[in-house]
Amino acid sequence: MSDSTTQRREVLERHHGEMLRLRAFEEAVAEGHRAKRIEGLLHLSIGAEAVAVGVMSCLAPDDRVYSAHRPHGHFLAAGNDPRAVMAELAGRESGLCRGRGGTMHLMSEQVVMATGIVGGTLPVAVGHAAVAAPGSAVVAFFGDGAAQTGAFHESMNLAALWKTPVLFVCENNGWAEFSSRAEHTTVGNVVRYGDLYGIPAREVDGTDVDLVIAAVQELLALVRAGGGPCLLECHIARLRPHYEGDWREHSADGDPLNVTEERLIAAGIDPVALAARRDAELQQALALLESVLADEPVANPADDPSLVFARTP
Amino acid sequence: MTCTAGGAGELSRDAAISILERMLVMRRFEEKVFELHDTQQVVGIIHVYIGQEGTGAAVLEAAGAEDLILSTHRNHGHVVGRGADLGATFAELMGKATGLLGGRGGSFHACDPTRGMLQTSAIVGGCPSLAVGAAYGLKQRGGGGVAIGFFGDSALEEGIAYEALNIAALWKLPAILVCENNSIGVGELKGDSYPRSILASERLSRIPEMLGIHTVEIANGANAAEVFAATCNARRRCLAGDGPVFIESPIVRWPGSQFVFPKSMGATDLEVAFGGSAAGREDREWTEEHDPLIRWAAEIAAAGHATKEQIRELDANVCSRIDAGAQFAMDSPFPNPVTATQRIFA
Amino acid sequence: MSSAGKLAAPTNSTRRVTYVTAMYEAIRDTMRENANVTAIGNWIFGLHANHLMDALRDEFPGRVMEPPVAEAALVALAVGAGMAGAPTFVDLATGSFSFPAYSSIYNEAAVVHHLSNGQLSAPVTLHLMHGMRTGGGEQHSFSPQALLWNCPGLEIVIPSTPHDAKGLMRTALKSPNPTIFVDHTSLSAVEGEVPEEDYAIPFGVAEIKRPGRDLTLVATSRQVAIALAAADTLSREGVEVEVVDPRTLEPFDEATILGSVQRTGHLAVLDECTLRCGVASEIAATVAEKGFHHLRKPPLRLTRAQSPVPYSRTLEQVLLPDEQRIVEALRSLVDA
Repeated sequence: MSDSTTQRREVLERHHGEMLRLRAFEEAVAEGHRAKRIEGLLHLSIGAEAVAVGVMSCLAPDDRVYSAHRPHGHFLAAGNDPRAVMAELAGRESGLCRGRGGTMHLMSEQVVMATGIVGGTLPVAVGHAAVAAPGSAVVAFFGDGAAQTGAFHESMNLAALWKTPVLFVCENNGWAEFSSRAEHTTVGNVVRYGDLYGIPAREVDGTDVDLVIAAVQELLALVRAGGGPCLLECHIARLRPHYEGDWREHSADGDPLNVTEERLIAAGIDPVALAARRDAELQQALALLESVLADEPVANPADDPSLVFARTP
Repeated sequence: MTCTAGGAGELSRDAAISILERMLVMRRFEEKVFELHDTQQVVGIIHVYIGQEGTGAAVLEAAGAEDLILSTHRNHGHVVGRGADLGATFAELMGKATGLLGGRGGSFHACDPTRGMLQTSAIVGGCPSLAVGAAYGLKQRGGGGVAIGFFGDSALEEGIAYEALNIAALWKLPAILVCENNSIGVGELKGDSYPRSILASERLSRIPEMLGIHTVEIANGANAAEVFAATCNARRRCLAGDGPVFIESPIVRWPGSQFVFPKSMGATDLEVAFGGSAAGREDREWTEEHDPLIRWAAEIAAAGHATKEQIRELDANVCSRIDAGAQFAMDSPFPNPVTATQRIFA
Repeated sequence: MSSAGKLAAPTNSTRRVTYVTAMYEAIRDTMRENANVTAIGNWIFGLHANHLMDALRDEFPGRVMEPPVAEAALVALAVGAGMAGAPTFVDLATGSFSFPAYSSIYNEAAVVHHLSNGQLSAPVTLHLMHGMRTGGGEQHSFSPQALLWNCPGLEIVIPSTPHDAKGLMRTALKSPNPTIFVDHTSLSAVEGEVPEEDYAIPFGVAEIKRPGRDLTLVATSRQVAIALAAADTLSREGVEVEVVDPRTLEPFDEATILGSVQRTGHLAVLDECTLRCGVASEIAATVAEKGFHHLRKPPLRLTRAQSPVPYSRTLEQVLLPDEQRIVEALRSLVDA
């Protein structure tokens, strides 16, 4: 096997491992929620792993990311400590936001914030990008449901006019909450909006991490060069319902883990070993869940009220 | 001014004259408003319709009596063009008790509910969203009629307009959305102009188009014949249940509207339509090239719909009605202060 | 239903149904009565009562619209439709989601009747679920009814029981004015006796949910049940608390509350809005102004702390006074 082939396989294995980590984490969170030990309205990113891993692998330390209401995968793929993320979901003092934010309000240095408001972070991302250092980029994630909001329109319009370095990434799973895209708009794929605002736009199979990376690299280069924003639509499947516990439909096809594993098997990796890795990751994530629940102290309410307002330095 | 008989000549005499009369009422009304504003009888910020009559008069001629009309802060022309009583309209702008809304709306919110005009929103983006709603209501009631909303190009910068357009297309609502785009270039006056519509889209009409709305781009919003035909077609389409229509009407902005506070440039001299000169006017070039009223008067004469004398007579008639209306308003009382907080709830 | 007496005993035609079922019945009855009424929303009855959405859709095809996420446009749409003679119900889901629609609520809906000098009206009903819900976090936990009460031109109803929900929803849907129906996620599954027949409760009529001679406790929405529990506890100590449920904020029944304070001499207000400019503040100020001479102690406001709502349960829990803290506060109020 040639060096470059080996290299490619190693890179794919690394990405696969990352995706497994994300998947296992979400499975553990789902388990915690089922057992009523993790509260709140959870929106899991199962099925979106290739997008999270693909996008994050292309970013530099100066780049920033804005997420939406399905943020766990983004935060993990950006390198946040899974223990801190799990602790945040469990409302613990050691959580990313000391238990104040929870599932939809994670914050970190690179992935700045998530949101519970559909389209809510898009204008914020544009503002951040407007003052970002030259050469850096801001990634703004959103779902296809957000494309019908006024916030989306205003954000795309401003970003294009002011040529802010934003890469808008739409994770299109064909559903906005409980209805299909066709029930929300006559516009077909979100990629068409590139044409409307005059910005480069691509659509890609979001279950294939290699394709995601190729598309992201192409568009990020344009964004970093200062030519203005770009739009990437990643088609994924929603493998779970809108929120955990909902009985409505979701898909069974389009699992990015399967896509990657088929490629690894074709490159000679033993399928049994792959299954074992999946298993191991899941066990590790479940152990993390248990450990956090058992050992991490709950968020302390006797905390100073200056957390509401920033102090003048 | 040169123009062919083609424009006004395409319409019946009655329709053409009716459009001319609407235009004259719109124009002379605003000229009187300038006088009243200068003498502080109309107070506050006003937005004048001068220069946009070619679109407004044509749309309102094509509109049905059962249609619902909605406008924005630049509403005077729409209100009087729809046939509102002139005295009550002046009174409204002057805040008098005899005003269309009892003086509660003033210039920003003038409308005539007795003639199917619904709330005039002065919030940019408000009108298209309310108009889509009125269309939704008409569709639910099933009685016929369409909703016609007049708004400017800036409305499409607002997210709410985008949301409303998407819904109008999705639910196939009988709305005619007339965008009077008066931000298109005006030569050397660019520097002094209002901020233009600020859209990344190459063409404004790409937005409704993308959202699935049948879109019509008028070549020249000063061409009343073109706008009239487009509106008639749009009505047919809406009434047939085929969904909304977006009409973009590009209008070269009247120079008097270029400033933060509009500035009168003297009463329109109709003789310019008949070979007279606009020399000495501050808005000379615009008057000669872009004034829809001058253009339409010339077209009507050229088409043989009316003689110059008949047109002058119509204008004189309009002017005396305007004077009478203004006098009525000046003579009207202000509302009783005890009524200020009445009629909050139905 | 008596406004100043005890709760009427359930008649033969009442049955126990949930709060959301009661809402559904009022909406259904209105849509049957008036063919021009439509409802817009994806999950009007919350996340766990889809059978009610299905029932509504099945009975009224083409009149239950499932919209895209566009709160601002949907409220404006309802105003336009209302002015055009088609009363419209719009579900805003969570109270926090009303914010994108504020221009449409304040600048359009609220002013229609006054601005038009009485010639136009906006028969719009907006439904939202306010308040904290365990892990809702900063953007799903707001109680906007105080902000809305501050805006002239909006009717606001805030029923605490299934019985009140059905009757007030009916009146809201029939009202020619814009009405906000303030619901709470914790109320959705609450059961209560609700008449089968069609009925409406007038606005501006508070209800004394529990009479008492020692202290007037005005409570709203979900807090009414907590107020009643606190009253039971204090009753065992010989303190009788009168629990008054305003049921509607606008129109507001001052007379019942002032009459109660005249008898008890003490006022506490329990409401989930934040402290500043909240519902409790407005009620306390009204009583202090108009019933000052009846008060033996200053009014007491029991509200949500002036803080955004953090996610973790242990943090969220301390933002609102629980039953124990309420009992302690009320006990101190009546102690000589």
